[in-house]
Amino acid sequence: MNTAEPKLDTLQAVELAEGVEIRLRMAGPMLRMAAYLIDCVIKFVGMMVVFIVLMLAGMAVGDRVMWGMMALVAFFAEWFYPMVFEVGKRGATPGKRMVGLRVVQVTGSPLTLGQAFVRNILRWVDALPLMVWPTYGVGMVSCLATRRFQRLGDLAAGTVVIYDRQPLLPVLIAPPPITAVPLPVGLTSDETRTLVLFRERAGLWSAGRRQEIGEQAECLSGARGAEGVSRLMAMAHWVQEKKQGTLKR
Amino acid sequence: MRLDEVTAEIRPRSELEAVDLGLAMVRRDFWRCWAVWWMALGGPLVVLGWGLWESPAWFLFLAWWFKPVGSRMVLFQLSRRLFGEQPGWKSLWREVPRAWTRRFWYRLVGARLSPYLPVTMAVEDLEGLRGAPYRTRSEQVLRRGTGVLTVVYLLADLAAAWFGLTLFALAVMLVPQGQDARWTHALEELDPSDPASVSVLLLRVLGACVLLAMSLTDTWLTGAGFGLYVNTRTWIEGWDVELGFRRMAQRLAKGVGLFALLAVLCGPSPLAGQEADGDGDAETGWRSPEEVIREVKADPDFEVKKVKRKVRKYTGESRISSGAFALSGMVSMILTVAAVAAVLGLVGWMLWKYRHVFARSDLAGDEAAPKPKARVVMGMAVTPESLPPDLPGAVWALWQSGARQEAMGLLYRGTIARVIEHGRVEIHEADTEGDCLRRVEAAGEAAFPPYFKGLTKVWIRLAYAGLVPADEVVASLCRDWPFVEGRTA
Repeated sequence: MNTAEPKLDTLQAVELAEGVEIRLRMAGPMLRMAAYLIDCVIKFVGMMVVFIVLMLAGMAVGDRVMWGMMALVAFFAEWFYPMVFEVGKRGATPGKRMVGLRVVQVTGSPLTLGQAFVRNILRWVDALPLMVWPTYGVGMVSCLATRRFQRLGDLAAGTVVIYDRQPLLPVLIAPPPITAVPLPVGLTSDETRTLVLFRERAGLWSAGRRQEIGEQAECLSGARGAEGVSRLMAMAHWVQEKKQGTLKR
Repeated sequence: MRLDEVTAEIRPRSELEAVDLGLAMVRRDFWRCWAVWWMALGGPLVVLGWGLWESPAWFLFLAWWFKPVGSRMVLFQLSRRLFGEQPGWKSLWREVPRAWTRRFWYRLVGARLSPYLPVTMAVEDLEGLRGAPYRTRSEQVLRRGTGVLTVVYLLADLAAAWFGLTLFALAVMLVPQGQDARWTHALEELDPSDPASVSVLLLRVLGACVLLAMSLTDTWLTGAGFGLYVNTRTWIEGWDVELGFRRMAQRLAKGVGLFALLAVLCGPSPLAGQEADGDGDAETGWRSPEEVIREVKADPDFEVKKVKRKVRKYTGESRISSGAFALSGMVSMILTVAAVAAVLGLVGWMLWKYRHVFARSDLAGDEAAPKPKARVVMGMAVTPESLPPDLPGAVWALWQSGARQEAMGLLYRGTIARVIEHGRVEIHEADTEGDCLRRVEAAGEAAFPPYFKGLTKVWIRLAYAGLVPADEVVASLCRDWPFVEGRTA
C-alpha cells in the first residue's frame, strides 16, 4: 500500500509559534448534536420564563408592547445565544460545556468576537435545506466531508470544535513484579511510554496475548514467552519507580 | 491481519472518538463505500420495486430490513482498506453473493433487530467465527461501548427518516405547481390526519427519498460501528502497544552498539542474529560521532532561517506606530461598544417614534383627532375623485376588452376607496393587502368583510401569481358589488 499516505486520525497536530506542538482532539457530529439539543432545551426553558414574566408585565403595559418585547427576546435568544457564550471564557455554550466540548480557533486559541459572529450567523445556512425546522443537512454534509469535522460556519470562521475533557480511560495494572530491572539500552520517550502502557494495560489481556505482545519486544527483554513478559514488567516497574523517585525529590 | 500496514492511527480512544475515527474512515473512501452498498442492494431493490410498485410502504420496509447486506459490503471495503489493501472491483463483486448468503437466517432474520449489529457483524465477517466461539467473542468485543453503539444505531434510523422527510418536503416545495396534474391532485388530497389515505404516488416519492437517506446513513453507521470494533480490539488486545514494540524493535535492530550490548546482555537470540546478518551496514558501518553529528546537522531541520522584518518609518505624528498597534485593540473595542450602543439607541428611538403603534386603541381612539384619510394605498390612488361613477360597469367593460389586470386593479382600488369612505375603515398608506383585510374584518359589517375577503383572494392570485380568474368569478364580483351609493345605473 501507499506508504506516503498519512495515517488517518482524529487528532490534529498544531504547531504553535513557540515551536511547541499541541494536538487538538476534533469532535465529530454525534456529541455536537447532543450539545445542540441541550442548548435548545435551555433556550426554550429560558424563553418560557421570560415570556411568563412579560405576560404578567403585559397586564400593565399593554399587549402590543409585550408582544414586541417577546419578539425581540426571541430574536436575540435565537441569534446571539451561542455567540455570547462561545466568546466567553469557556468557549462553549452551556450544552457544549455539559457534554465536554469547546470551540476554538484552528490554532487552538480562543475565539474572537468576529469569529463567533461569523460562525453563528452561518449556522442558519448549516440548518438548511429546510428552514421550517432546522434540519442541519448542510451542516452534517460539511461536517462529515471535512477532515476536522467542520460545518460551513466553522470553515468560514476558521474554528473547530474539540473535546475539552480528557476521558478517564480504564487501566488494569498487572500485579507488580518483585524486582526492578534497569533498562539495558536508552529508549526514546515514546518507547518508554509504550513500555509503561504495556504494564498498565496488561491486566486487560489474556496471558497468551501478553506473551504475544511481549515477544515483539524480545530484543529488549532478551527472552520469549512468560519469561520475556516478566522481564518487561520488571523494566517497566524500574522506569516507573525512577520517575516517582525523581518526582519526590 | 497485518498490523504494520494499518492505515489509521491506532490508539486507545474513548468511544465517541472511536466513532469519529470510523466516520473518518468512511470519509476517506466515501464514494466507494456508497457504491458498494448499492452494488449489493441496487439490483434486488429494482426488482423489488417493480414487484411492489403498488405498495411502496412494503417496499421500504423490506429495503430497511435487508440493509445489513449493504452494510456488510461497506464493512468489507473498510476493513480491507484499514489494513492497507484497496480491494479491486472484481473482488468486491465476488463478495456480493456472500454478503447475501453468509449466515442468512441468523443475521437477516434472527438477529436482524439487534442494535449491536454493526459490531457483531465484524466478528462474524472479519474473524469468521460461528457458534459458541462467535458468542464468546461477541461478548468480549461488546464489553466496551455498547451504550454509544446503541445510540448510534438508533440515531442512524432516526436520521434516515429525518433526512428522508426533509428531501420529500424539499421535493414538494421545489416541484413547480400545476406542472403535473397527478402530483398536484395528490398534494391537494393529502390529509395529514389520515395516513391511510395518502396517495400511492406520494408514498413512492417519499419511499425513494427515505431509501436514499437510508443508504447514506447506513454507510456512515457501518463506519461508526467498525471504528468502535477496532477501538475495542485495540483495548483488549493492546494493538497500539504491539505496534509500539515493533517500532522499537526495528529501531533497536538498526543500532550497532546496541547489537553488541544485546550480545553481552542476553546472548545471541536466533532473531537478533538473523537481523544482524541481514544488515550489512551493522558489520562495517561504524562511524565517528563527528561524522554522525555533521550528517545530522546537515538535515534541513537544522538549517538556520532568518526572517527580517522592518518597521516602516513614519514621519511626523504617525511615528507612534507601535503605540497605534496597541491602540487598535482598544479602538476595535470602543467601536464594538459604539456599534452596540447605536443599535440599542436605534431600537429605543424607533420604540419612541412609533409609540403610537403600541398605544391601546380603545383608550386613544376617542381623544385623538380624526386622522386624514389615506389617498394612496400600495401605490394606487384611492380618493373617490379618481374613480369612475359606475365602477362595476367600468370594471366589466375593461375586463371584456381584455385588460384583465387593469380591470381587477380598478375593482380592488375602488373597493378600498369605498371601504375608507363608507365603511369608516382606517387604512394607512403603507398597508399591504393582508393588513387591509385585517382592518376591514376588524371594522365589522359596514365594510362587508366577506366580499372584501373574496375579492382580495382573487386579486392576490391575479397580481402575484398570474392566475387569471374565470369570467363568471369576475362577473359575480361586479354583480355583488355592495357599495350602491356611487352606482348610477
